This record gives sequence, structure tokens and C-alpha cells, in this order.
Amino acid sequence: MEKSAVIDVLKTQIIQQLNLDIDPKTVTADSYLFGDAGLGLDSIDALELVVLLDKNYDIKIGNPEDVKEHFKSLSTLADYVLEKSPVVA
Amino acid sequence: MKTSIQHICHISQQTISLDGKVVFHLENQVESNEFLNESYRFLQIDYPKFFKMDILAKLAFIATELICKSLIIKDINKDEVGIVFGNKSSSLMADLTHQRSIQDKNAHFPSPAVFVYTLPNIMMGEMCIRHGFSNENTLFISEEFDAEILAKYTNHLLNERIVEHCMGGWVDAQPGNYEAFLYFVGTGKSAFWGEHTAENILGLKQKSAEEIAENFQKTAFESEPISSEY
Repeated sequence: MEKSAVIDVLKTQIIQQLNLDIDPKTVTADSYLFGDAGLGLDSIDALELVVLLDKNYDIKIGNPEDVKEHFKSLSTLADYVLEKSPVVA
Repeated sequence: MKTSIQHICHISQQTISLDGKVVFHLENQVESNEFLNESYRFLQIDYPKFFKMDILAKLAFIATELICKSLIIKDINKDEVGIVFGNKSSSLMADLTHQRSIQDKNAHFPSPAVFVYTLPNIMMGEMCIRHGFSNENTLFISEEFDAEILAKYTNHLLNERIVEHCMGGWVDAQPGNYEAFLYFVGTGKSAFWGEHTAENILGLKQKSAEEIAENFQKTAFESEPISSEY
């Protein structure tokens, strides 16, 4: 699966799962997931992302602190999914 | 000390009324969540976190938002505003959603964002965060709207000067049914909605519910859509 396709799927899943009132067109691969400059996700959303990765990509994260850098943007998250997920070829 | 009701807001049957006037009504029957999302957009509120809330918090949020925008007294001290609510079903709607997410042993994915709402007083926390209220807040759970205890407790807070104002009322949501009846209470001069007594809030709630039901009946049989004003 191409990275751009993974980014598109992740974007849709995050917006749906996290109930974000955001136009997907305004979210780019490099938009920050956390903080006011990006999608504005909070600590509960971080946990929700952990569940999303487990549910959709069979990626189990024990300690969210360990994957902080991968949660920076959609692009870094897609890289992480492509590297770790057994269900994304 | 005399306490008085300054504003009331009632949400039920796809209708929102503020101080006796319908400000939003949706004719097409939709799920409660969809109705509340539609009302948020119609009222042009800008608070994206709204979409993450459960039904209970959304009901309290919309009603509080409308009341706060209409306050006669603009310079209220938000540190001195209390919240006293009543509720029947606790956080049943969030509980059911959470339960569904853990039903299947092979697909056990509880959502943290749902789980945080499995306590009814979280809705009051959301109101405090939004409006900066930082005083007493209490939720009484009872089978029916218990005007007696709500009025008594609220008046105690006001008379003992624990709070200067209080948001009171009833917020309840269960499958297929929801209702928020909120009122803003203060001390001093008598307000438009009269003295804050158990009899008065019970009467206002009943009257408001009748008006909403009447509006609902009327629009259900009319071919012309009702226009909403805000």
C-alpha cells in the first residue's frame, strides 16, 4: 500500500473515530495532530489513537510515551503503520 | 433572601426554546445526536470539542450556551456561579455505547473518549470548562424532576452566599428520549420568570413542555415548514 493511500485512510479514520468537526481537505500529511497549530488533539485523543491502531492495524502499544514521535503528524503516523502493521502490505 | 429565575431554556422533542420563544426546531425526525449537532451548527457556536461530547453533555452545553448569551447581568462573577442539576438516567447513553464496545470478547476495543462520559457529572465539568464556572456543582439523581430538592438546595447556596448565581435544572437522556430544562437563578430583584420556588420551577417546566408539545404537534401536521429564529 502506498504511503499516500495510508495517509488518506488514516485521515478518514481519525476524523470519524475522534468525532472531529474538520473538513478533511484542510488536513495535510504534515498537519500536527496535537496542539493548536494542527488538529488540536488532546490526551484522551492520544489514547483513542492507540485504540485505533490496535483495532484497525493490529499494532499494540504498551506505553504511548514510546511512540510520541510517531504521533507527530499523519505522515509520521503512516510511516509507523507501514513499518509495524502486519495487516498493511 | 429572595431568589429569582432570570432565564429558562428547554430542549426536548427536537425543539429548543429560550425564555419561552422557540429558537430552533427540526421537523424531520432524526437521532438525538444528529438533532443536537444540527442545533449547534444553526446556533453558530464555535467550540469543536462539542462533537466529542455525549448526548447528556451536549444537551447541557447547548442550553447553558443559550442562557449565558442572554444574561441580563453581563458582569457576573463566574467564580460565584454554581450548578445544581437533577437527572434520572445518569449517563445511560454513554454507558450503553461503552457496553457495546466491550460486548464482543474478540473485538474488545473500549473507547477512552466514550468512557470519560460514563459519569453524569462530566456534563457539568464541560460547562465549567467552557464558561469558567468554578464553584459548587451538584447532581441529584431521582426518578422524576424533583423541584423541591433542587429549589431547596439552590436557595441554600444563594442564601448562605456560597454562590451569587446558580444554573439549575434537569438534564436527562435515554434511548429515544431526551430533555434539558435549565434555568438561571440569582438574588435580588424579581426577574421576569418570578421567584425561585419549587412550585414555580415545576410550573414553568410543565408549561414549557406543553408549549413544546403543542409546537411539535402543529409542525408534525403542517405542510409548511416552521421557520426558526435565533
